[in-house]
Amino acid sequence: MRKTLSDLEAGDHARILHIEGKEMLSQRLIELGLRPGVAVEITQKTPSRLVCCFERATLALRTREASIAVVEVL
Amino acid sequence: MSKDRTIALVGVPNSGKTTLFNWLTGARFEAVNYGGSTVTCHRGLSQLRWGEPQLELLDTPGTYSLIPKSPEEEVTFQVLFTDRESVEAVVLVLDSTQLSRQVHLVDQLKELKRPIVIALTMTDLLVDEGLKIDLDKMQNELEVPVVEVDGRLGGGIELLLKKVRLILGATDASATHSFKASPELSLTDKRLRPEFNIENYASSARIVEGWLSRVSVLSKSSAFKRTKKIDQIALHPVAGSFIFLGIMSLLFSSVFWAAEPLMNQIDVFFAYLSQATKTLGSGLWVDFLTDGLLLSVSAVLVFVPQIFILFFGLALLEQSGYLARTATLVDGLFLRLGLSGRSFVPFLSGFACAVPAILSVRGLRSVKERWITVFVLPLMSCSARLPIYVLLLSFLFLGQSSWKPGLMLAFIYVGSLLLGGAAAAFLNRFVQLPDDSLFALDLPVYRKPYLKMCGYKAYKRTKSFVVDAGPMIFTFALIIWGLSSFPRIDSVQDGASSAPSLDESFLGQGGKYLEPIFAPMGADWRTGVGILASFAAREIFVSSLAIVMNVGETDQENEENMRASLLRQMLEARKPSGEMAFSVPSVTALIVFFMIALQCLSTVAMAAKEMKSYRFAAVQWISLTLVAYLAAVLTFQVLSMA
Repeated sequence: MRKTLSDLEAGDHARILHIEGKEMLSQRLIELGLRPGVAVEITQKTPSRLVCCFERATLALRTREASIAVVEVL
Repeated sequence: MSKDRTIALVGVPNSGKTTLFNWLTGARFEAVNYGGSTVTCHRGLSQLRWGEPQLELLDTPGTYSLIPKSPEEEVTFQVLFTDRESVEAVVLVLDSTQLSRQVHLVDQLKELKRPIVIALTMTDLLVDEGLKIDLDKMQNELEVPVVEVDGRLGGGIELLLKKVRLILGATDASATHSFKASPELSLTDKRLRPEFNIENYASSARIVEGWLSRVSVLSKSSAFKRTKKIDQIALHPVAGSFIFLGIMSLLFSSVFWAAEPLMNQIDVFFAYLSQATKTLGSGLWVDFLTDGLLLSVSAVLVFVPQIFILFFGLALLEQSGYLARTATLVDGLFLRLGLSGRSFVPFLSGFACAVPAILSVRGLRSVKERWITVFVLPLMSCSARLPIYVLLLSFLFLGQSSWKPGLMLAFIYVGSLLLGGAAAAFLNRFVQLPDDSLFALDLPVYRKPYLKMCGYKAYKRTKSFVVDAGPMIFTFALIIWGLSSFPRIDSVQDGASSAPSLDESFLGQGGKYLEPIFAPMGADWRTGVGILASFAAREIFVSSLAIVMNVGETDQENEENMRASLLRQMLEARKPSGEMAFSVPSVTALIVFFMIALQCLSTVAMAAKEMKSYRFAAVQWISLTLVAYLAAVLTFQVLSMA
């Protein structure tokens, strides 16, 4: 089943497969470091947002923005 | 002598770019405005070394890529890709701990075909983890010189400047100008924009991995692990909210309580100056100097302590890494109002003064969000309202214990927040504008703030307040003075003219003429004059009311005396009908009016400038003032019935 970053819970690890969605938004997520292939850890999750860590970076995302990042759970 | 050669500093937000800029210029720089917007760049000269040519340095707004996605990033793009600045070389500031995410900027910058030097920051954080970057390998693979710099101690600055001069020497000054770009490019113009190339990003982690080597097996402390731990609490929905409220209360109480003695000192100083000037004699010129010039200068300067303290506090929070967390914490709430967590900082600054607050909306990407934020900002209880509330509340609670007005003041502040929220929610429903807001926020590692840098930042913001808003406040204070001191009365005995009583001045005549408008909210013509005068700037209300109420000249020298005397006059004031001019209903209505009305010309001017629309400013001014008036009339009428 297709999973996105927004489907994950705190403590989950996943790898980014690709970023979908509008050009501006998907570009910005990639520029912020959510490139295909990057392994992320979800450190916090609330109904409206999530916080994830990867490669010494911490990123806060709205659930809406996170839902365009297709992932595979690790 | 030839023109100084221009170097642009480019980097991601939080990469240490501005700190480096401070080191390079010795913290001497000026703001440069761009294309009619309020977005600024900073320009400074490299610190002078004997026998070496000076360089002109431009600090561009932080950008995640050269494909701009906000007005701020657009400025960086304009500086680099148009020829208005004739940038000859670029210093790219890269955070060594975030290389895999930032190295793509090298490829994008190479499209500029200008020499690049990389300044590598935060290497101390890598050392703490036992890691080291192989500079030679990095230089060779990128084909760009790399210099390690220390943002805190200023190490590596000399070497960086040397490398910049070296690459500039290798390129002839005239040759670099052969790069021709169109003078004005915009977001929509894709001709010269670097292409978004996913390949650049996909391979970056692997490439960067090759430059890193482990030099020590023991890592002392990892800033990233520490950050992860702190965030477990700081971003926690419950615990995080309490910490947030605690820190905000601390910030605000220091803005008010720490600034108070300084503001008093400024008042006392100007009262002394004014007194000294009065000894020069009487007549138009002395009137102009004391009541016109000195009063208007002090009206600007009295806000300097609050603005400095607020921005110092904000800089502390920003440098420590906490400010980005506050945006994250409030985002859920703000989302429902059509805003995002990013508009939190403008709102926070709005409690000191709306003018610098409007300046800070430029980081917001969404047009709709910028629109709503600027529209609602003047509802935040800015510091200019404080003296008015203090006066009116002490009238309402005259002779009662002091906690009551204190509590009411707290209610007014919370009320302004709720009003702002309601207004934002309302506008969110009805404003049709593109909303491409996106909330993906980079949370930097927690670090000890660098106090000197915070001082510079606060100084910079305060200075821009004085320079941007100062002339406006000053001019209108002078106009009010003019209206209240003309037509002159010619004295028969010595031929010297003196100021008319306020009653007979243009301002007083206007006030009486407009009295029917103010009557429904319970105000007589004297309050009307105060309200009219305060449309230039709210802080004028108390002083103009003092003039209208004929508070004795001798009493005005002492702030406390002036207030006490004014309160007595307010109690005694009667309307022609014999009713009290200041009653509980009329004073409450006045408070409601001041909470909503947009009585600040600097804010109106700044809003027009930032939104690039006089229509916006007009709509905002008229609607806020109209709502304020209706709310005040309603308050007075309802309370009078009771």
